[in-house]
Amino acid sequence: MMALSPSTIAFVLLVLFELLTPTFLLDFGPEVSTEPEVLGHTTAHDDPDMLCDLAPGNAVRKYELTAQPTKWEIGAGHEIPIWTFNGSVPGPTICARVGDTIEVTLTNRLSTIVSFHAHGLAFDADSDGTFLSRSYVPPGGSRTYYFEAKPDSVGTWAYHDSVGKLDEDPFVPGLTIPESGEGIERGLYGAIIVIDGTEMPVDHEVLLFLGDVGPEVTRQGSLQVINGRAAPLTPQIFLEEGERVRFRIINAGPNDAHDFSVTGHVLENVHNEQVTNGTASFEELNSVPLGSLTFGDWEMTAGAVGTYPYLCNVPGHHDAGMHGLLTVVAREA
Amino acid sequence: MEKLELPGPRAIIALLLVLLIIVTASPSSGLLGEEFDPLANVPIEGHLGGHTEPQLACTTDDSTTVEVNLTAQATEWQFTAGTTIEAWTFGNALPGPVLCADIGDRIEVNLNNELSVPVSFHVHLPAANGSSNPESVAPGAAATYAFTATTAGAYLYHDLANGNEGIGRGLYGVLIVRDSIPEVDHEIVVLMGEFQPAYHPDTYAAVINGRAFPWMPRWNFDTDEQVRVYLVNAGPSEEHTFHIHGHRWLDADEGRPIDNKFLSPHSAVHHPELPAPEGFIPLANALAADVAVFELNASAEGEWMYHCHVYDHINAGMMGHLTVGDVESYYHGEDAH
Repeated sequence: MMALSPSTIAFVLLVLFELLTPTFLLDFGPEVSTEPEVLGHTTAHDDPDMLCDLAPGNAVRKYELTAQPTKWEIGAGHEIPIWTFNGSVPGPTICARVGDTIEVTLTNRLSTIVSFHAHGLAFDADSDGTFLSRSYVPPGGSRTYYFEAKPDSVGTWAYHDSVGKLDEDPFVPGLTIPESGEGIERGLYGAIIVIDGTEMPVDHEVLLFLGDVGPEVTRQGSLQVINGRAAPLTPQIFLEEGERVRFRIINAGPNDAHDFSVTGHVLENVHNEQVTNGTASFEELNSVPLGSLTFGDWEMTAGAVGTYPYLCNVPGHHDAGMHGLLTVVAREA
Repeated sequence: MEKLELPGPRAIIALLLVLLIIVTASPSSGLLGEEFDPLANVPIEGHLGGHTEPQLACTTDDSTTVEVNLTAQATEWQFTAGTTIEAWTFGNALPGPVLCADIGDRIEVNLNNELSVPVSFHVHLPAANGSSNPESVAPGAAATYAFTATTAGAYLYHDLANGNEGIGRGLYGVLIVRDSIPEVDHEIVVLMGEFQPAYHPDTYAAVINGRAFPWMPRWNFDTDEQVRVYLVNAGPSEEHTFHIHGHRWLDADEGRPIDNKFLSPHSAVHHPELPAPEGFIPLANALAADVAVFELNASAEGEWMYHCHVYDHINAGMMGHLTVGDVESYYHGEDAH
């Protein structure tokens, strides 16, 4: 009969503690708004409404992120405890211009280890945010990650926790896979947007995150969420007739593929080589497929005045909450 | 005055328990047995000491005919340390051999069927038998499939006599058609797929080149070496993505840099007529491709993870490591080179 080792006992205690934490020990921080986000055309404007409008100049851009417990209304009247960067899903958008240096300081107020893993940027292994590189943050700790925005960093990318799980044993090399999607599923993700100044000006940029959330997090059935919430709490998007919009879309995962479309409209890939060298017109798509943790941007021209549902076409995802409304309003005189 | 923030009692208790685990756990703690070496048999590819010629996935010669002998057979396939499946293979390996032809070559595949079910050879090369269901070879029989390598690229070849079960059990591989010798230092083939319980009772694994963690292929490159990647999703039925940490590459489909490529399963792109296995979620309006060929500059020194970014697949084994430059491997120690 094998005796239980001390680490096994500690591990069992830890799991029990995680499962049975008394409520008075939980600290959820301040309440957050439960109204749907309103994006796009909200007030009269002359200038393009861009998510990241940065002047050139090789700047150093510093961001402070805190991983923290948050009370979150994931669906109408459906409140659950989640994990966030700075109190909301998604976390703050990190903006950079090619040539910039980015410093992200992550403070961990969760009782699990977390990390910051960036897509798209250039970095050394010790800013990878993984078990492998030992670049994670223990409970109560903090760490600064360093990145550079290179020419091939231009575009829309995700950042996310890349450890976020305690019931792994990353300290026995080679025997476990020290990565899980739990941190992402509980809300630890956001966007990185890198520009190089050649972006076509558009009237609006709209940032959307698609994600799947399982029953162990929702404490009910599985949900498909946009910007962290299921319908009817998904973003309400407004555009003026004929306005040009750039959707920056991130599939935050952790598992499902999605197929995004706006009814009555086509989404245009303006990066395709044949397009940029002028030998083809814009590649027009009825919908865009996005696998887990893939991202991109697509442009669209708002059609006639009316209300157009946007949604994921993968069977079951609409009904699990992954849809919302895009409203085209008349052009102001 | 700013309030001083101290960790709460919950965080302190959890931290103490984590520290206790760190202090007490070690490879020799006996949790996992003493003699077990999980990293034996990890295939190592890429830079292994000095080389002046490119290390390619396969080579062709001056001949204008490529003759290939493939035997379809039953194989006990160990896909990770201590875990096997009853596989069907082309040539006793999973995946089958990388086939290689120059553009314009005649390819003759002599298929010898030693399985107890009919088997066929089907490849998605345009103008081969990509759009039709080829005649199958009866058990114990042999036949030759002949076609011309019309278009450069990478193509999945697979059995089509058994629906998705042929791929599900391991009857697949990659054909590369070249229009020139690529000016790269290395070529790697990344063939993604799943071993599903429908075909392998009590088994679910997400695999690359027929293997799962920790037996995933390991790639070693010198700093700034140029690597061509042939990425294919065999399926049989699940979507995969391929993410390499620390690097970006130009995606031909999207026309922009990416660091994670989404591929539909081969069956969804080319065989929508086949019945979808249980659990398959088809993309409704849009289909991503099942093949991508791209070039990667191994620019970032260090040891990095590569994996499918579907977390259910990471947890089912679809993760491995690569090193760039002369670095010590956390997982492999000095054996990395």
